[in-house]
Amino acid sequence: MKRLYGHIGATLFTVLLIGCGPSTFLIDKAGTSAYFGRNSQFLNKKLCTSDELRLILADADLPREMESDFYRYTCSEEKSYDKVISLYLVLTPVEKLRLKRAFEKHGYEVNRLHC
Amino acid sequence: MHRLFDKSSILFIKIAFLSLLTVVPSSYAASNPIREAAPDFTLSDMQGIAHKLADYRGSVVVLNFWASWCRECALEMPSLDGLYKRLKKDGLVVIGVSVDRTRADIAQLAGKVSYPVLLDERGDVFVKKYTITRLPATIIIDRDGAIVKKIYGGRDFSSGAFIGEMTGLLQEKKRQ
Repeated sequence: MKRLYGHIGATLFTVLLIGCGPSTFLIDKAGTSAYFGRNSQFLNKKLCTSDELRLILADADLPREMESDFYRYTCSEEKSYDKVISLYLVLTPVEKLRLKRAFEKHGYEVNRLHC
Repeated sequence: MHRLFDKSSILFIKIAFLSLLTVVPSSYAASNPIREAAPDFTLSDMQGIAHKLADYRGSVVVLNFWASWCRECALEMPSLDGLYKRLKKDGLVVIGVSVDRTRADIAQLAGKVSYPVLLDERGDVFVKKYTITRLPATIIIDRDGAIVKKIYGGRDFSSGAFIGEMTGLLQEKKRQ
């Protein structure tokens, strides 16, 4: 039994370790989810084509330049998930929370268990 | 072949060859793993003095990105300061780059170290030039201005291995 718990513990630890890589946060709408900033059809359709991201970023009340950089690196030809992660890192904990709340305000579920 | 070397010699050669295969890549990795030019930038410190990275060409530079809300960043800073004090005379330059936007938060940590701390309040260097995806992040730049190592996550800079690595880098360039 102890060995079984050991295996479970090791598996969980590995999963946590792998899951804690650099990332933004998971957003989910209508059963489809993706990491914010990652290049995906879902994100492109939901956030960029509809221009919903502009409204979300405006609601997050981030510094003006960061707001436009988030849009640029998520929706424009300069799309870069690494740059979105980098920008997200620069946000203060309060700003990170405001960004997540802004997504929630627009009907997204935010994975609060992200690393 | 078998006439020239006995069994034990052949075994020794095999071991030596295998050792060489293991040692060569690791020493190469220590001196030339990345070798990409470090993007230049100019940022000001807390006193408003501008620092241009290119001005430090000729020194080995340790560029340490941090934020006040990053616990690991604060934890590694004393060891980085120790490294700076120990190897400053040999040409080691340590530059802290804070991505905070509140001066009081920066001052609290910056006041505890003796190396310059620059302010990247808009994240221009952090995001656009270096695209750092984890904090703390430490970039090692050699005397030619090339990035030789990127370290993500907290590190004990007072470890013998790291000091040895830095000393090697400082001496290597002195010889040329």
